[in-house]
Amino acid sequence: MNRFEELLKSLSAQPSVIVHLGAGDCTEHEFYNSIHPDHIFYVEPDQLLAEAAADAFSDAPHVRIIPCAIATTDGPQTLNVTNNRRFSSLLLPAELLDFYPNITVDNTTGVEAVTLNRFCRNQAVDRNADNLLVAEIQGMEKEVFPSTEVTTLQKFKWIIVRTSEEKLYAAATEGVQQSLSDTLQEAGFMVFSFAEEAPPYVNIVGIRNDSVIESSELKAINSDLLDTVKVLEFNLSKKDTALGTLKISSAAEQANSQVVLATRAAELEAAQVQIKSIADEIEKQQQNNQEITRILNDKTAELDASEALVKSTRAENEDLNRQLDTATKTIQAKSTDLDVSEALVKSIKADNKDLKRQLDTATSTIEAKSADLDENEALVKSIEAENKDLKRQLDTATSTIEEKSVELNAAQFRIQSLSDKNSHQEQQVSALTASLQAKAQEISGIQQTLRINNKLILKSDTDLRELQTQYRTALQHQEHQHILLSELKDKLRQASLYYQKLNLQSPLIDADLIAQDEPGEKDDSGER
Amino acid sequence: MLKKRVPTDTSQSPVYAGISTLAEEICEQQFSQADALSWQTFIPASGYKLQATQLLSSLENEALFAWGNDHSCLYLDFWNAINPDVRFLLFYCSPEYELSGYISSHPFDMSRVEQVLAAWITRTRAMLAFFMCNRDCSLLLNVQSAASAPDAFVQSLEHHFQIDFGCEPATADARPTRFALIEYLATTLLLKNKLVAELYDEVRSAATQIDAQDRSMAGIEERSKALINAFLAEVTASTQRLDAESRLEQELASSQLQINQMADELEYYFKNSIEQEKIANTLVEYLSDNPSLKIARQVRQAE
Repeated sequence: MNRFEELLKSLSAQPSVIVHLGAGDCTEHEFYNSIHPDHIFYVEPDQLLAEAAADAFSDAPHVRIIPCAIATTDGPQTLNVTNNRRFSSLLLPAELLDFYPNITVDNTTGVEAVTLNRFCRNQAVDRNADNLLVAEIQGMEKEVFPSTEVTTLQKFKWIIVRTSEEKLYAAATEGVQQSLSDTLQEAGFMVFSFAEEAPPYVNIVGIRNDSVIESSELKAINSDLLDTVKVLEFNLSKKDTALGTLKISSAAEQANSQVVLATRAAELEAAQVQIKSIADEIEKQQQNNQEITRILNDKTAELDASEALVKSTRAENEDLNRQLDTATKTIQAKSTDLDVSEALVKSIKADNKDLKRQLDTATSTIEAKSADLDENEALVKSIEAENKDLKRQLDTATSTIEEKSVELNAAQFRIQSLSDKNSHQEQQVSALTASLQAKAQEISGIQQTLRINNKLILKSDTDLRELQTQYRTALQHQEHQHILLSELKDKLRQASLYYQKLNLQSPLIDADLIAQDEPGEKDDSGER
Repeated sequence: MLKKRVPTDTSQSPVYAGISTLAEEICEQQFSQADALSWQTFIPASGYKLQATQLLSSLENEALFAWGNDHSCLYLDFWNAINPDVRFLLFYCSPEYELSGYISSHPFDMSRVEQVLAAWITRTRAMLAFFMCNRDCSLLLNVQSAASAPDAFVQSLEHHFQIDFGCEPATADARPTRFALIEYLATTLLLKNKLVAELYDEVRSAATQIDAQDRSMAGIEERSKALINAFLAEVTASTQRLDAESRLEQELASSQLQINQMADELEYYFKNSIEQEKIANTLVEYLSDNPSLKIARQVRQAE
């Protein structure tokens, strides 16, 4: 029995992806599920076991069953299927039979094999996550791991391999075999070995040492950089020499071009002076034109304004005359009203003073109240904000409560249905056990009656035998009696003959004899 | 060279009782607080080693001594360390056999069933581990095969341990009879237990073979099918037995009738014979008393 569960528990491994090569019946599934990985890949070459696993995990979306073998090369291979299917391998069993003598290769079947490199590429297993690789590949581990790329191995944080120091399986390719520990150590893993409860298997555990890997990567990058620096230095020296020659040739060219450049510059300057003078003249003319148009505009505006002024002053004079007449009339009316209103104004002023006082007090109270109001408003706002938050929290809480209650209802329903099912099953089981017990009792009753019957038969047999012997003896007696009777019959016949003879010879004797016999004759005849 | 050893009943020996008491003490010390079903391997306290050594050293002159205990498989290394001459006979059984044994004698309880299976796993693992490490001095055998093929079992013992028992094995099956139906029911409880299946397969792959049934590596479904077939066979056999019984009853009734008839006939003949005997006697008496016959007799004698 392997020690994967024990080892993984001691490592406290929480992998995102679990890859189990040679999963068999997926005995470890319950434990793998308990550590909640995102994905589980079960690789199993045995078609029968793979199909059984696919059926079992059809409702688990995070579990994938991959029916293939892991080998050193891609392509079809032959799987040796043993009577204990957990020992089936691409290799033939060798010393395995010393430990498990009852293992036999029942048949061979064709399977598709992939390399570990290709498998990881196909299933998008990358180094960004903490991945776990468990390998139970029945002897192939000694060939597969040395031939796997280091970068592929480094995609897994933990590697557990079930292997043996013994040559359990015949090697396919002798040259490739290498110690697993060395391979994993070279790939930057810390390696530990744990023997199982009983030989021949050991569990090799590799834990990725990221610092070692990073330092080796840095070393590689450093050496790359040094190489590029050397190349660059070489290129630089080359370019320096090219630059020297270029400098010499360019100095001569520069001198020639400077002369040409100077003449060109003089010509350019002369042309620029001419262009500048033309531009100045154009500018002066434009300025003059602008001044003339501005003066013209001003004069026309002044003319328009004076004409409008004349017209408006005339209309104003007429209006003013009309207003003067009405004003003199109203002034007369108003002078009388003014006296009344002056009295009114005086009383109103007094009222106003009172009102002003009241207003002052009111404004002071209003100010105080407004300050309070402001404070209250601020409080109300904060309370409102709090209320809003609380409302939001309440909403979320009610929604979660609703969700939870729905879940709870569903769970309760499920529990009830399960308990119903359970009780039903229990009832069935109890009914079955009761029927079983009844049957057992029936059978024991039958056995007892059988036993009694057997005894009765034996007794009757003995009785029969006794009766038969009695019958036989009775028959013998009867035969004996028959014989005696027949003998007696003969003798009686002889006696009667003799008696007749005697009667004929001397009838007197007979009469005398009869006379002598007379007293007992009656009794004898009666008896006869 | 085989050592000729005649087996005797060692269970009456005081050493046997001593070892049993020691084993009980060791187990009591280990499982004093635990449930009877909670099995686990352990190393006994060092104090027991001396007692065990003394007990085993008293057996030096014994030709053959056998001792058995079901809990001893939990600390086999202890016995192995005490005396290297000790040989171990380890009996494993199928999980359905174990479970059916429990189910048939206890009320059904799923949690207890799990405990029974856990105990089976512990015991079987312990025996397998010990056997794999100590193949020279141990035999791992299927208890059902050993019981069904005692000759092969004894041969295997003789061959492996170089012992000549020199006698025929007892043929009586001391094991309790199990009904195939209960074992079948037990297999239904094991269908999804992959751990049990894996361990049972491993044990069968490694164990010592006795007969053909050990060579079979049938899975739980196949075993389940075989058991239901066995149950059906049992049913047919019991029906046949019942038929035979009824036939015998009929025969018995008819033979009883015949016997009665014969008895009547015999009685009739017997009465007849008595009558005839009486007649013959009277005739003999008459003839012996008849005077003429007397004279005839005298005449004959005179002649």
